[in-house]
Amino acid sequence: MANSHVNAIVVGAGAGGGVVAKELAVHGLSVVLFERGGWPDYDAHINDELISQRTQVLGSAFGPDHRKHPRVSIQQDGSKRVVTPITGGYGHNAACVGSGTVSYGAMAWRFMPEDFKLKSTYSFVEGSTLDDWPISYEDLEPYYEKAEWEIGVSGDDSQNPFAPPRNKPQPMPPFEYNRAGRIVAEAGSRLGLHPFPIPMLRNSVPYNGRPACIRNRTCVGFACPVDGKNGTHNTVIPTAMATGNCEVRTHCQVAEVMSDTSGRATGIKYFDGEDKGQIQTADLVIVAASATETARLLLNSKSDLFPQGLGNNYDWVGRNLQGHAYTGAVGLYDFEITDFAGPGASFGMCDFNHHHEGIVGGGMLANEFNPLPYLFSGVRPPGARRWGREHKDFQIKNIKRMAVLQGPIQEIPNFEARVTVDPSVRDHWGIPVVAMSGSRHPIDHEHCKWLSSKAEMVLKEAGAIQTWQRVGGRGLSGGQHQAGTARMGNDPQTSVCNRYGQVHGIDNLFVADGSLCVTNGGFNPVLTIMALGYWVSDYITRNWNGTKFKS
Amino acid sequence: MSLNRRSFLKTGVAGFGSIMLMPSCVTRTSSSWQFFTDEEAACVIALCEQIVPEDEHGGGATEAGVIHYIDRQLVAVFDYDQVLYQQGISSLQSSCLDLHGKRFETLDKDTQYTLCTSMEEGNLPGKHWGDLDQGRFFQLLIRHTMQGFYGPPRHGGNKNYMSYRMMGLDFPLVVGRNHYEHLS
Repeated sequence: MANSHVNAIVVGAGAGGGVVAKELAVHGLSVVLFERGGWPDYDAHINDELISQRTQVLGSAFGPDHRKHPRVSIQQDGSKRVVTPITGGYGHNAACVGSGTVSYGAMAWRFMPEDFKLKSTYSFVEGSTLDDWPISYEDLEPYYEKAEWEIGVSGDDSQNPFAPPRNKPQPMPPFEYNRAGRIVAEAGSRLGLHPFPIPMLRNSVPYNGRPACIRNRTCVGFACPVDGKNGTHNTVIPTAMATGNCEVRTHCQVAEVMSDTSGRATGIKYFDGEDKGQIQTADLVIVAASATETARLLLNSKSDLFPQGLGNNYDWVGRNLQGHAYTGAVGLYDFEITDFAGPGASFGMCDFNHHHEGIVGGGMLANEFNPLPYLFSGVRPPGARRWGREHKDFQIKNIKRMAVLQGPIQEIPNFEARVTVDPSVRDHWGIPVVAMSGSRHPIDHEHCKWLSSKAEMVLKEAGAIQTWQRVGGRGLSGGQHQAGTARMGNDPQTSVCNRYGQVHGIDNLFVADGSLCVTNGGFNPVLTIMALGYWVSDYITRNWNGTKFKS
Repeated sequence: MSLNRRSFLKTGVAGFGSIMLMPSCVTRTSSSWQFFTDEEAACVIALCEQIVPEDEHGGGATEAGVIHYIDRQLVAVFDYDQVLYQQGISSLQSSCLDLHGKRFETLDKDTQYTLCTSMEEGNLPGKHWGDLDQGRFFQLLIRHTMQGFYGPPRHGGNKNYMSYRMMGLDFPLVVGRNHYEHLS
């Protein structure tokens, strides 16, 4: 039996798609929210380091299934490698209802006003596609606020002198520092820096009918055993379902967005949980499948009118793949600086986000999430032997004596860091897979060296007996913070979507995830993706007359 | 599980077969292990014990049962590493017989340590290794040993959370609680 026609299809139940499904459903549109994974289940994925979002050596707790979802990684020498979530190099994002918001560290950063105007704040960077966003911080501010209150954020921006202006405080008080947070933050203050508690999408007090955080040692990378961590799976998506207007269709792999001879989207083709090909038609299609999978879906949606894929008339879909080059330093102490109060990261500082000589952008610094035993076996000073007695001595002596200070460098986008599709490699359903190629802009590594030196300085001030830098910024970007592959812009020849996430030239096709981001900030991006979900939805609901857009 | 994976490898890796080693599907004679022969297992046990040795902090990889972790995974998630293990063990044994006239696991610990150092640096006689990168094989052994020693016991290693106990990490994971006494 054919699926009933609906007003809107949302592809991807993550940070962006979950918000869009809720907003459209409460405004009376009938919605089907498609998700390739299932509902997350804490009991099915206990605190197993080897099957988590931090280490996928035995599989990914929240999907995708490594046997069904290969990708291709194209190396600098042009050779191809088939990669899966367990091999690494995959650019892995969780595939379940809620996606990364189920298992994330839950930092709830707003980008700063400069992050939307990087090109005009600094200057053009040679070899980049650096540009300003077509929208400003002021445009997005009310939508940040909505995300903070509907999904739930603990924080207090008044302690951050670099915080962007806001109309309303965050709804819950900030978290206290853990031991490493307190000691390193005090060192930062002594150096004239400005540490403050990281805003978090976790409950510092009971909120929205769910309990407060219990400081679980293994928080980031895992689902919350008491549901004190806030994602779209336990906030907006249940709200959408409660309206009676939204069906969440799980275990469905979307293959293609269909379009008609007038160039409008008509629905999607997908494979259901039994691998059976299905069609769902709709008045509107909103793609929110992550920067890699959104690009893949648009590129795989070819027709006579769109031989290069939807939105790709000027070859911009999949371009400018960004993420975050993590960079920082490690300090060892002669006392137990880690108390393992979860999630570990507790203070941040925005002193290094903007306005430093010779640096375009920058990044925030935060103390790092709690070390996990297996991953910690890979943390050693340069040149140290990684096995034998030396390994074991270090492991046992230092797992509680280490503090890491690091942060996400704002990457400078470039045209050749990109997602394409590889027709010679297919997934379980025969759909051409994501191929990732290119590399970061060389300036990212220079920025990383600078930020790592700052991190090392603070760890030393905090009394470290040994420090070393971990400098990122080389190689292919992407990863969990993937962004930029369907950038928004005013010029259809140099962007994929307009300022409302509407694909240029196709008025009923939208993108609502990190793909829209022209640049990716020096911050964890999830709150910005949620805000973009509200922003795109607001445009749709204000302009939708029931069957089409008001002219 | 492995059937699905193999069918994906066949369809998905056409053209890149040289990059990902194909599962061997070798028929094994009687053995106490799921993948290894008894001789291979003895060698891997000795190698893992070099990587995480027993010392004043407590037991090593042998006591933690790391071999069970690796053996189990080689017929499951790590089936694509089967050939690498077989060839790696065989090449190491040829090197040991050549240099010392004995199999690796029968050599004294200091000699084993020196051999591991050589393997890590790629300095064992090349004639026994063919196309196989001995340093890469050793790095794989390190990763798998660490996973078995520090990963959750339900995968076969880290018996009774012994590595967690050595590091003083509570289990379960909420600060202020220690439930070790409830474990067998």
